[in-house]
Amino acid sequence: MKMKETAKKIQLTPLSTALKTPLIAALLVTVFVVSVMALHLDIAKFQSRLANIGKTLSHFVAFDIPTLPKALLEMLSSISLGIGALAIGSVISLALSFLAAANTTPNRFLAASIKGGIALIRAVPALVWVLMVIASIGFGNTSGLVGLLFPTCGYLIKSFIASIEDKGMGTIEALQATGAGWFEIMLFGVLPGLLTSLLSWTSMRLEHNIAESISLGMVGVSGVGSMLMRALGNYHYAEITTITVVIFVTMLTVELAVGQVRKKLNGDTTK
Amino acid sequence: MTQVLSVCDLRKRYGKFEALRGVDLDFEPGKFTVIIGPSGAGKSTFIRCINRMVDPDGGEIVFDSAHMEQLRGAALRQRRAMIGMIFQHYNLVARTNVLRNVLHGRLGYMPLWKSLLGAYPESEKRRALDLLDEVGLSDQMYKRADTLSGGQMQRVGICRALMQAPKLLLADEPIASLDPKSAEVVMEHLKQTTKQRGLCCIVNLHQVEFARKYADRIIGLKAGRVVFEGSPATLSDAVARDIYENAESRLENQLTGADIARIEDEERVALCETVAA
Repeated sequence: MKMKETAKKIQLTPLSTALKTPLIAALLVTVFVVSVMALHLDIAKFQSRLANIGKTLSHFVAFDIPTLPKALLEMLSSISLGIGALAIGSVISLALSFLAAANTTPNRFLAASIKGGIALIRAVPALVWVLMVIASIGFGNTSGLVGLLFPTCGYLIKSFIASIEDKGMGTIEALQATGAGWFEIMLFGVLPGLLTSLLSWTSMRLEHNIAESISLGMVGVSGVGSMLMRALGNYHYAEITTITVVIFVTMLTVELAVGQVRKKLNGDTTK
Repeated sequence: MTQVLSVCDLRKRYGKFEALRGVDLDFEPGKFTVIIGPSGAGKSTFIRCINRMVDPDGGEIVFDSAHMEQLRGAALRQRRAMIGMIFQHYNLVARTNVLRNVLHGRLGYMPLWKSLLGAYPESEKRRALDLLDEVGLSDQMYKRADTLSGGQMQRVGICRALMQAPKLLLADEPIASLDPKSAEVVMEHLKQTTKQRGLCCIVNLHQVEFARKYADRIIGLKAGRVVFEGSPATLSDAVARDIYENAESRLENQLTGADIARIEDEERVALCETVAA
């Protein structure tokens, strides 16, 4: 009896899984090869110009001090755009997320339509939203702000809903039982426990918003992004480097600041 | 007609699962009633139907001469304000202080604009403090609710319910999460309050000993039906054992995970508590 058991080889994985793995690997390789072929990559051209990289890079090793004040000013305008969209977006998101979260919604269909709308907004890139807004209200900062509201709300509403649903039914039920109305339940029962996590999400979004408001320069929204686009178009290498450094330092500062804020907020929740 | 609450042929089903299959009960003021029964017997559903946290499928619930099962909107909230409720997990607002938690009991009586301003009348703040004093927690009034112990939280929960100046007090497993000493304190206070204020108090309990010790009247619920009703003296050990007999199989056979998920979704009230407790 014992002999028989040892005689039979024991498979580490069942045969079906063992077969599946190489099959999936082969499929992935095929997809990769087909994609590369579909792109018609010009390897020869790439190789011939590879030598130029050193020369081009050397152009970038320059710093244009006179550009700095303007770059900083434009950066400020980009930051303002990001913060403006965040401020308006967070108010909209706060209202809509309470209407959409499963445990707080006054109406299931309303919740479903808000959640559906958010899924749609998140599926479309921010740049496309801005282009659509520009198409309808023209170029400028207003379009940038309105356009930036879409990804801001998409992100915040989704995060806010997750935080609200995480709270469960307990206190909501308790306040319902006292005869309190919906608004009172939200304000006194749900919001107090949520403030820190909502602020945490909002501060996190600040980073994305500034980054996106910079990238909106590409579609004609003013700010450091459009300044960078102009410099790129004119091959002003020193200017490009200066602007890039300004962007880099700003983003790093914002990231560190947001990190500190979130640490403070999260520390508060665990206390 | 002396009863505060009269329930007639109350029915509720969750999918295939019949939580209540025709419950008829009357409740008088000043009486402390304990409902015992195994998990899934319908205790929680019964108590939650009374203040319409759960919508019954059939039957009548007459509270203070109003048909609770027909009420909606503002009229329902107005009646709910007259019914205090106490929960197993206390359900206090964690990041809010004790005094404010107790004052939440007044929200059902205040116009929206007043509650938004947080403008509770001085007399009500005074009353909240008196209630806290009764349970020995007045010195903790500015403490955040989530810093209290379980027993303290439940006492705050009772104060919140009493703040409503209720005619009826519902308690759903109020001591299930408490240690024996705290449980005694909470039950003692509930019983005393019921007598003093002439309330009608209905408590769901798991522990037969606690029911025997505190109840004026015990109701045994099993598989959605009343199987026992009487004074603690008339509840023999054999009857008590019978109430809890074969309870497990009923739950497991009829309520699947998918059922529970749908119930939670549709009712927005977790039956899980009944199942898990």
